[in-house]
Amino acid sequence: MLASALPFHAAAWEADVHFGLTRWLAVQAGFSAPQADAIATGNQRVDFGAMETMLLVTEYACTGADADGRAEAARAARRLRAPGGGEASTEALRTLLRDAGPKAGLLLLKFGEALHPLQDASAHEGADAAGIDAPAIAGLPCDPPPLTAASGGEQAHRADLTAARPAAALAMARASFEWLQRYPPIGDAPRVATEWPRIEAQLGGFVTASTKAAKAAWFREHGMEDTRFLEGISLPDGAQPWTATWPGQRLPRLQEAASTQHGVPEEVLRFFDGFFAAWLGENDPAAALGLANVEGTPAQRDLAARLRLWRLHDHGTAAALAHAPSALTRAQLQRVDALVRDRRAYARYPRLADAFFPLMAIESYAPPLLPYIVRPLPALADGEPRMLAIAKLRHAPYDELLLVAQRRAGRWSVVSLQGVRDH
Amino acid sequence: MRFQGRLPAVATVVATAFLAACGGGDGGTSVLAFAPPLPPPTSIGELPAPPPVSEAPPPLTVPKAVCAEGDVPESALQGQVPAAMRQAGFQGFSCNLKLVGQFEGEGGSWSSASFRDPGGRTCAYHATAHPLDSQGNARGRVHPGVPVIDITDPARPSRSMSLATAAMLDPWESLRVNARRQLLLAGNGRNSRFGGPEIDVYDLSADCRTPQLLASMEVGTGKDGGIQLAKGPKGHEGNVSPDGLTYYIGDIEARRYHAVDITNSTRPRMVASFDMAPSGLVTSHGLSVSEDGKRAYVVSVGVPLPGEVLDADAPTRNGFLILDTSEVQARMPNARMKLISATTFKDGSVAQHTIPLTIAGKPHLVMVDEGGSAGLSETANVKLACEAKLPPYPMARIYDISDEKKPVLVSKLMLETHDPANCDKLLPDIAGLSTFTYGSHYCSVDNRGNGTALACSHFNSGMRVFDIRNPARPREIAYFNPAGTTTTPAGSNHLQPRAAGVASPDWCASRADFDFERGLLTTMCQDNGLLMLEFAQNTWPFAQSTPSTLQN
Repeated sequence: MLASALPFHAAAWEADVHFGLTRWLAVQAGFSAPQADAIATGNQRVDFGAMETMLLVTEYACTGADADGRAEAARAARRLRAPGGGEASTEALRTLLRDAGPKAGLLLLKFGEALHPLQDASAHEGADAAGIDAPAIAGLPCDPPPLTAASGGEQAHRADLTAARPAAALAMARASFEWLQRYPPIGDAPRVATEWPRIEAQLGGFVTASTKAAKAAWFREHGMEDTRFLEGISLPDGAQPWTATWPGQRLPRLQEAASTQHGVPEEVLRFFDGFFAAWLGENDPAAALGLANVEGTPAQRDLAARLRLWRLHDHGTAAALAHAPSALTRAQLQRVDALVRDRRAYARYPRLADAFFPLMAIESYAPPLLPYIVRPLPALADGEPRMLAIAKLRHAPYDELLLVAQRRAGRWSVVSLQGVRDH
Repeated sequence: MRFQGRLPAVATVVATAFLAACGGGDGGTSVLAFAPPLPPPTSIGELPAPPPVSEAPPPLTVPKAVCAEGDVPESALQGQVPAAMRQAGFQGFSCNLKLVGQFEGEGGSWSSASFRDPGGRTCAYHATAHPLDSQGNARGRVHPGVPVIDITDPARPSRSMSLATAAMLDPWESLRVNARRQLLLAGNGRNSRFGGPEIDVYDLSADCRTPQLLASMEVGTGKDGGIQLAKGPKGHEGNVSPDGLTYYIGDIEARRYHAVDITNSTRPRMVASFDMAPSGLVTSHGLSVSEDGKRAYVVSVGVPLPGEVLDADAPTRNGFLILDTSEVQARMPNARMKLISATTFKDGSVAQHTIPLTIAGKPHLVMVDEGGSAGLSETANVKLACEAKLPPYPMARIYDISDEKKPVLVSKLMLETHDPANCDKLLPDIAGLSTFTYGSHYCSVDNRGNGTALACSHFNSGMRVFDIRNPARPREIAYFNPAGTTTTPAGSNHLQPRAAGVASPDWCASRADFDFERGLLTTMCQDNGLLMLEFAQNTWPFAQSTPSTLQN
């Protein structure tokens, strides 16, 4: 059983904390700017930015084809995210500090990585009800089982925001600072740290900032001109659309958007290739459904709205609606219409392949990098085959998107879209 | 270390010849030993004996560079350091390349690389000799391993740290940067025999001056979760695919090329291995991978037996293979590398490496030897090649690979030193020297996607740069042969007899990096260490040149 090892149901901070605050605290702890950059980069890459840490919760908890691979990924996720908090959240730090010694200068990325679970442990506290949405797809066995529907929706990303839980944010900052001070010396250079009270006194604006623009302003006021790392966090952009992209990702480039996954029927791959091309292309995202009348049944209207929501570049504005666990109400649908009225609100990519994070499937052999992963789902009562596609889009880096397709009368069509927070 | 006597098995013979070939001689005269040829194999599996490529008559030597005022041009033959100059202490030559910075450190060995990080800093990294020599004696290293050298200001290079994890202690010829994934990689080389199965992976993205360790672990032994070899691999050569997802090891002891999946750069995993043994008396060495990852251009190392050198009809083994690596690239289960073609020739040996490149829109392959027509470039072999009227020293050559099943030789980059007609003029220069004297070792191109210039290290002839815009008629545009040193630094493998206090020519054996923006060429020679060279005005880049981080 994997259940006890899985980091489900946990809130977690985002890049404003894992990169921005960490870097600023590292400088306050006496690290040089390049050293602070390395620590912050290692920390942030746990969520996205490196293949080795981009672990798909749906794969290791539900769909991964190789049991050993799933277990290994689950262990890695536990080490990186420490859902239970407590001792587990500092295990990586304790191990690293014990072993670093003369290699301390080579292990700053690892140090940042080890700070990540410590910080997220404080995010978990009191946030159970707002935890990650486990995939709730009929017939999909997951370990552990998904949360009840009541836990997602409006709360989906709120627990990730410092303004929602300022006390936890401050506790996290202080714990981070203390561990930063414990890192072994690098070479002969002494580190001189700022006193904690002086640091704490400056953190109020950071904690309460409620837009990307406000966060960026705080960082600039505190000596960090480069705020591109705020890309993708769950706060709304603010007065202006956020266009900067974080250069700290070290991800291989996907050569093409067409999937080359082994063992998947060709007709399924070609269906999803076509669907993604239509959904992520220049036209109305809902046109990917291929319906003559896109505003057909209530279920189709709901799905069309979600397809549009997940294409919005300002995901912070759309997150609550996109994660809504039950059918969107009339008012919510009207809000969606308002959000997408200006087509420029959609995320655009120079190449279709650039829309995707590259993914690795959990298989018994190493698969190629994939734009999306396809897994079979058990057929429902009608006996028609179903397939699940898992993707991560660059403009919504904290979510996995699950698309269920079903074949009816010899024709495949997408019947649901669900977002799963996976950080 | 001396290699003497006859060795029993073909694998050992080829591999051991190679140890010497790649500088295994720690000093004194290295004697290459070859067993008698084995009977022809009854089956050569997937690697049929290839016919020699039809070659044109020996071409003219490459036209000499025209030097600028203030240069110190060569005084004798192209590439030559005359004996008298050696005895007086070699002061160096330069032509259209000026030294702007140097980091001698503890010297270096066989490979180097550089990287510009997202913050705009540029760093260089190079291999150095293992802290212990082949007898297990300490070499007196102060900072063993790969030095990290900040060359953002090329006039003021400075070492920030040294990397001394398992593979970095002595990566031999395997040290590489993959700029797309911002990784520094190496296998545990240590002249193969003493090497090991470790791969080291460092992240350069945050700050090139402080590489961050991602992995230092064994591959191919079962510990990595990948395929398990009968005998753990040993590093020596290596290269990474352009997409940064696969690192290939050239394992000369096992006579194999191993593919290591580095998609997860913290967990390298061996996924395939290609066996050279079916092709007979050859082994592996350097390689390169196509842009799409579906082709590997691997060398086939052959060393002719003495009788074969003089026999115009003797079979040839030295050259390169084109392998289909599609299954590796696609990460198919039980992926295999499949032979597409094999190209061999008579006037070279100890094949070193290859570079696929596009010149004027057409696919080509640069292939470089480190042995001449009779083997390594010491006196006995040179005399034998000269007797056969073949080039005695190794060189680079360019093939048209538009038809990958039938590569066509386009040109050879012969200096005047290579011309058999000049044998007598050169033999006095190399008297008493072993292993390597004149000739090539490693090349880099300015842009694999648009090759216009090729820089090749030539042991005693320094770093030499060629205009290859017309690959059929390459011409030399610049060279820099650093002044000799009077002692061998502890991190250098250039362990040759020296007259006390006399500066003898260096071994320049490393790859190079073209810096388009700054008009620089960075390389490393073993005694002189890291060299930052500036091209004279209007030498390079050409109007057709374009920048690239993919140079070999």
